[in-house]
Amino acid sequence: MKKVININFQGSVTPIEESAYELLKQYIESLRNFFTNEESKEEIINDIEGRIAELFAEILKKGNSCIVDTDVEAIMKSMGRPEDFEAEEGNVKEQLHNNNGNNKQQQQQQYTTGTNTKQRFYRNENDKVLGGVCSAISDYVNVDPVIIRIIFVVLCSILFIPYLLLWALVPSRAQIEIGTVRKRLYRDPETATIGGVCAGLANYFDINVWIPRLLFLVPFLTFVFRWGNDFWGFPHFFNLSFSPGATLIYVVLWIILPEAKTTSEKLQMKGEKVDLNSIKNTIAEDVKVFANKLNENSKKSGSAFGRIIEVLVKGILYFITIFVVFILILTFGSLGIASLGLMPISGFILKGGLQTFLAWSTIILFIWVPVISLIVWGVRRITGNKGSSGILAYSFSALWFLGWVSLTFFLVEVGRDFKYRSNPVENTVQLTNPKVNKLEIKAIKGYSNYDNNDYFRIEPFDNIGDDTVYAPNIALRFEKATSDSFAITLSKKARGRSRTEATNTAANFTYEITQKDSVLNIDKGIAINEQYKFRNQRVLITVYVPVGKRIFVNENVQVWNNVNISWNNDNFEWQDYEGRYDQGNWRKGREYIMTQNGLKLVVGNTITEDEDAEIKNDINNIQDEIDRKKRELEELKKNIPQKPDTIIRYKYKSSSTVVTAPIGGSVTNTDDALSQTPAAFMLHKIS
Amino acid sequence: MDIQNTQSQMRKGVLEFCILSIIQQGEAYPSDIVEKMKGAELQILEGTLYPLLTRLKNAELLTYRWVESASGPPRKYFSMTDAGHQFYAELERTWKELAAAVHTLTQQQQ
Repeated sequence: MKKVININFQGSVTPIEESAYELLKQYIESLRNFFTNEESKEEIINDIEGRIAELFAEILKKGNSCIVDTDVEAIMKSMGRPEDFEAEEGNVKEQLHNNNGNNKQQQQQQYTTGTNTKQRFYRNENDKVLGGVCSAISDYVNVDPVIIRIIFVVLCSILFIPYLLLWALVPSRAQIEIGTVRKRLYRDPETATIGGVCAGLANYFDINVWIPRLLFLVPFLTFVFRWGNDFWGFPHFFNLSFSPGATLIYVVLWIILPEAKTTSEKLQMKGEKVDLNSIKNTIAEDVKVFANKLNENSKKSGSAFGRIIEVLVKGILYFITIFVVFILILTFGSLGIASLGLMPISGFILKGGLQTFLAWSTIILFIWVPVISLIVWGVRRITGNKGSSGILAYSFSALWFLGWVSLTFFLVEVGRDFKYRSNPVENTVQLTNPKVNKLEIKAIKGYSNYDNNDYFRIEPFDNIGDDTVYAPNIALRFEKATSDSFAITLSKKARGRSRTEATNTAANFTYEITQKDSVLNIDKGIAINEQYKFRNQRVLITVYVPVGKRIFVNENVQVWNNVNISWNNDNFEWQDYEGRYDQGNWRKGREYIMTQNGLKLVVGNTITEDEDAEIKNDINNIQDEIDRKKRELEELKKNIPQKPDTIIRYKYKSSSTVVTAPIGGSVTNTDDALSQTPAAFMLHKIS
Repeated sequence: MDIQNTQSQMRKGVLEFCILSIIQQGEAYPSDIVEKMKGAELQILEGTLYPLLTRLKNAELLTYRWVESASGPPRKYFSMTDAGHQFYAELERTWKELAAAVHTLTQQQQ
């Protein structure tokens, strides 16, 4: 049973079912829309309505009491839908998309005359990424919109506000569609990743769906440029932080915005006309999607709780994936940047064309290929571009495999230059005053004072000059002197392709040690030049300390052990494969004295072997302090007057519990006390 | 190449001429025209016809008069103007040339 209404249709009163009337109304709306650009559109519509009225009259004449849905549908079928109509000029699609007549004329004008006619400045709705501003500018100045967009992005900080202003103030080219339903903001469950918030936003603003997604992700990545010394000495470029603000906004939107479930809601969300056509199309799509989803969701429970869990898990998984990918990009990216930074000193390590070539190919194939491929993959995922990713993945993997091969060859090839150890080249250092009592070993820079490059330290290279690099590859050893004078020997070592080459390299670098009264100045680093290159040159300084004399190593002496990256320079043992030179357990910044039994630490006035003696000393001191304070306390306590022995006993009124309250000092007036206590807490004095 | 597009273009080319031929033979109203076209195996939708007729009318090639009808609203009966007749004659000539040309070409292919 349906409601029937009377309509005044083309001059006749026609009874029609309400639902049929809705269909009719939408059909005529869609026709009106289609002919929006026609000059005589009202006439055309009128003619068509007239035809429909004629058909209605026939139907009613046949004995039907009113027009029903099937009648209207039949008429619509015979008369056809707007997209089936053949238009004379242009094509049907243009008419369906409401291109302004002006727009067409202008385009034609430009095409034929070839000159740029003065156009009014409109935003271009058809060619927009965000707001169509750049597209409008590009139309106006006749430059490719991509270039304008790049300019805007690069000068983002300056052009951001103007862009927003233009977006708000400049009217858009597309006219408001007649008969359009007002566009509403919904969540889009169909193209949703987590909750469909971004998808819904994209639909409302008619922008690509990855734009709001990216905007939501950006607060999570704060790019902090910190020139601190990081873990590996790499600069601290990136910082990942958890952004509660963006998450909060997202969750709030998620809760507030309704889901576009029904077909008409979905159409409203996208701003499409809710007429029979679009509904039909949408339903057809939905049926397909539903059929697919039916297979997937057949096992899923429909409870709300399950859905929440499911969405949470999806969200977390997505986040983790993004996180991992990003970390990978960062790691390899940092390696890439670092390796590029190594380039200036490559001349000091690499010799010859093959090595350089291998170095470059390793950097490109092994380090940069995964970075680029990960970034590309990430961007594709975000923009939803499902291209022929199979080929890309294949080629990237192949390139990366080549990178591994290249890396291996590189390591092998460079390793060959370090294979052989030289014979040690020994020198004795002449001391000007070998009979001092104490020798302090201090490192000086024998070269021009170069600012230590704090951003970028690659151990073991400390300072980089123009044509020399300084490696602080120094080892220090203390021995008991046989005489009563200090003596110092210097042993130089290096590596090379053969023993002779290594020895040659070792002999050919200089290392200065000079004494100035009780200070022994040693070079801070070994000068390495491009001729002999870095071949792990190192020096072993052996200081022979006479018994009873003291030795002190300044903090600024940098001691090194091969080409190692170590976390802290203080304590380590230096070992050489040719023999164990036990450096001994000494530390910088402490004074030692040579005794018959070896080097001993000087703490205060005592000599001890215990490295922890200082700490123990301190502990002892503190302990002494505590004891002293305790005694003082005792003394003070004794000065307190004797407390009275008398204890006044009180008793609760209603129980036999005895409460004893010792009172220090004079006895209080019990009467007063009783009168002051509240009634509930009556204490009675028991003598 | 979209064949439907080409086919549609071919149709569009002759539509106007066909409609004018029908009207040239006598006064006709739109649904009549649709019927006759259907009879000649050339389908046309009302939605295509009405705008076309209106355009022709605006170009003063056609004129119409209202005829009251017992069953329903009044109908528009279209007939040709003098300008319309001339226009039609031109089109007829063009069509004959085209038809001959196409005939010759397709003959040769065989």
